Amino acid sequence: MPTSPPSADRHSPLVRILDDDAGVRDGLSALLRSVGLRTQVFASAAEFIEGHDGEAIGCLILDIRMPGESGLQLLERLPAAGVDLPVVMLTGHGDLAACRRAFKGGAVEFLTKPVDDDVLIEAVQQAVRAHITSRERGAVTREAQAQLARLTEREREVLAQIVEGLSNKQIARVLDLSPRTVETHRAHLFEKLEVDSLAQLVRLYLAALAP
Amino acid sequence: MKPFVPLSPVPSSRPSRGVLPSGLRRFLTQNAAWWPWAIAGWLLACALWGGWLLHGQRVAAQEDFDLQSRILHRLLSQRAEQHEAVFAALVALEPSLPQITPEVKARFAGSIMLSYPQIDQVRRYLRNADGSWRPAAPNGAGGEMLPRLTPTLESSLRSPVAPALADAAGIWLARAAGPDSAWALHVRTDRLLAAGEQPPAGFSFTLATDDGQVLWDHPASRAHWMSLTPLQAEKHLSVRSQPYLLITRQPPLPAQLPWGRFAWGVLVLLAVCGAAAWAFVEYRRRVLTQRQLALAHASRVNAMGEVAAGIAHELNQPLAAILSNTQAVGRWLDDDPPAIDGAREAAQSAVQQARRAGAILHRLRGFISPQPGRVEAVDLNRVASAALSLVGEALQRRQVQVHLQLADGLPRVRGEQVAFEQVAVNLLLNAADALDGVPQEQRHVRLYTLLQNGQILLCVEDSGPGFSEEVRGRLFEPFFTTKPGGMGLGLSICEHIVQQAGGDLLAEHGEGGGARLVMRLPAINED
Repeated sequence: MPTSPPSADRHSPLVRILDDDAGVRDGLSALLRSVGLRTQVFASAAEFIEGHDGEAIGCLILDIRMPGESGLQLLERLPAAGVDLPVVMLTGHGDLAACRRAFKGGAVEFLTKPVDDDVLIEAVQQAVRAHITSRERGAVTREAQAQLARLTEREREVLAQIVEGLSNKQIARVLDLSPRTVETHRAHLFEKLEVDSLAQLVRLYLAALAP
Repeated sequence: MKPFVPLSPVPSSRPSRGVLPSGLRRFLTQNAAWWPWAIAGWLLACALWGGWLLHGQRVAAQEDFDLQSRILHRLLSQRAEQHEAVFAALVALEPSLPQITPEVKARFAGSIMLSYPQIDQVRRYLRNADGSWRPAAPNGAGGEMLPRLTPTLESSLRSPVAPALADAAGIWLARAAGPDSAWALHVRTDRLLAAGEQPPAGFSFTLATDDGQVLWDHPASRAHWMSLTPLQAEKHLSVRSQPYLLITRQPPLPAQLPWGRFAWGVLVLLAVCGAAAWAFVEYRRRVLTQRQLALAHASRVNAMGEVAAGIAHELNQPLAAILSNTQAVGRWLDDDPPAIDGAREAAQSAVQQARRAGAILHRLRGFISPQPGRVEAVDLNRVASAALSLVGEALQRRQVQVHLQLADGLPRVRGEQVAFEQVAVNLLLNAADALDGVPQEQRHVRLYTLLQNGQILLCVEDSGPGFSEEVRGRLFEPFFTTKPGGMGLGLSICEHIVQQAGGDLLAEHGEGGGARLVMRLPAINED
């Protein structure tokens, strides 16, 4: 496994570098380590899928032109493979078609070799930030979804009407319930979701819906 | 290794043809041996030499013949004058004839014959009352000729021309001495010319009267040789009374031809033509080699367009690595305290990558240099890899998938690394060309090496439509191409390169129906 040992503490971001050219791999790795990032290098798509650390916060620097599976092909199947890393594409020559395809496939940045250190580091930091944000957003969403999961079926129906902006009486009419029953559901709902205000309820609901 | 695509229909290839018939073109453009040129040149030179000698001989013979003819004409005219003088004497004798005794007459005649040995008879004729002639002496020989002389005798009374009549031994000449008498002389032709006056061998002549009567043909049997036109001249004798036509002839004789000079010239020409032909073939070979070199260079430069893209990509990698490494060095050193170890490591990487970039450029320079490379032991696996690195980019751009299979432990071959690379590059680009009409996902090229019967094979096989037998037979001919806009030189140069190295270039039908070009070189024994 051509993986460099973490050079900084385990809590700094881990940048995965995938390039078939050992010289380029090691050069990028040296540069990123010099600014205190941890790196992990791979020579092929298969090696990456098999051996990368999926947990650590960081990003993937991906070369387009490789023997076997190309960078673009790998990029497009990353979500299916359960990889949530932001990707910085790196290519020998920036042709427009490849660039378009890269962004369509979800790459955060598209750089051409040789790449300047400031540009690369900036791109990597941006990607790491995106990873952190997406992990955070993912965490909030999961939490909200977990909370919503505690509601009963009827309570969820009532919640859906509440966030539509309807009053208790209106909800009672739509769901063919008595206003009193609606009010009871509403109370339980606020209690279970541990929110105090309608504003908080709406924020939680939207967070759960977020992708 | 992906399986090969099944055979796709072979398009009818329309090879472009040159103006010259292929056989002649092959003879003119390829290295023929020197001796056909030598023999052709020698035969031509001998013909010219012989013609020149014959012409010179003819001129000399003509001069000699003219001289001989003049001499003969002079001699015969002189004899005729003698006869005329005899007649004059006889005619002058006529009035006093009755007083002359037969003894005197006989002595006179005898003195004539003594002075002029060609005259063996002198006769007098008298006219009868009926107009016919009779010999003055009874029983005289030559009486039978008289009736035939009679009409001309009559006319000779008024004309200065003496009547003449040929018989077996000579010529009768007659002259009227008066209305009723005439004289006749018999001239022995075999005595007309003295021993020292005989014409040379081969020379012949005819003496004839104007009305076509042949008086003397000498010699009777004429020399003829190869029915060549004889020299010939005609002139009347310059004597008024005997203006006979003298026709002289001289056929060319083998003995008179300059055989010695001819033979000597033939030998010299053989040596000269041999040397010249050898020099010519040698010179042409050298010029051809130079042109081949120039063409090889041109075709390499031609392939440069394809190669340049690959080089650009390849060079980009070490450049990218160098940039990253050197910038890393800067950052390591900016640390407080400077991280020397990291900086040193990155600097070493940068150095390595700079060397790698240099090596790439070196290879490129070698590929485009017009200089012939160094002959050395070459590993065809390295040739295959180097060629692929030169055109890999071009093939990738054309959606061609290359499958490289290198045999392990191959012996090496002797030759020029760069030249072999050029051949492999050409074969790869040709294969890519052959795949232009093939759907993208079916464009495969196999590049592989193997050892077979002590020979190393470098093969390029494509999944294209292949070629017909006719095309296959002409594939290596210069200026033969199936590509629109193609020069038709690539494969002929490749073949030349491989043959120079003692190997050969083969065109075969691949297993999948495509073309397989094989560079076959003998392995060298390095023990």
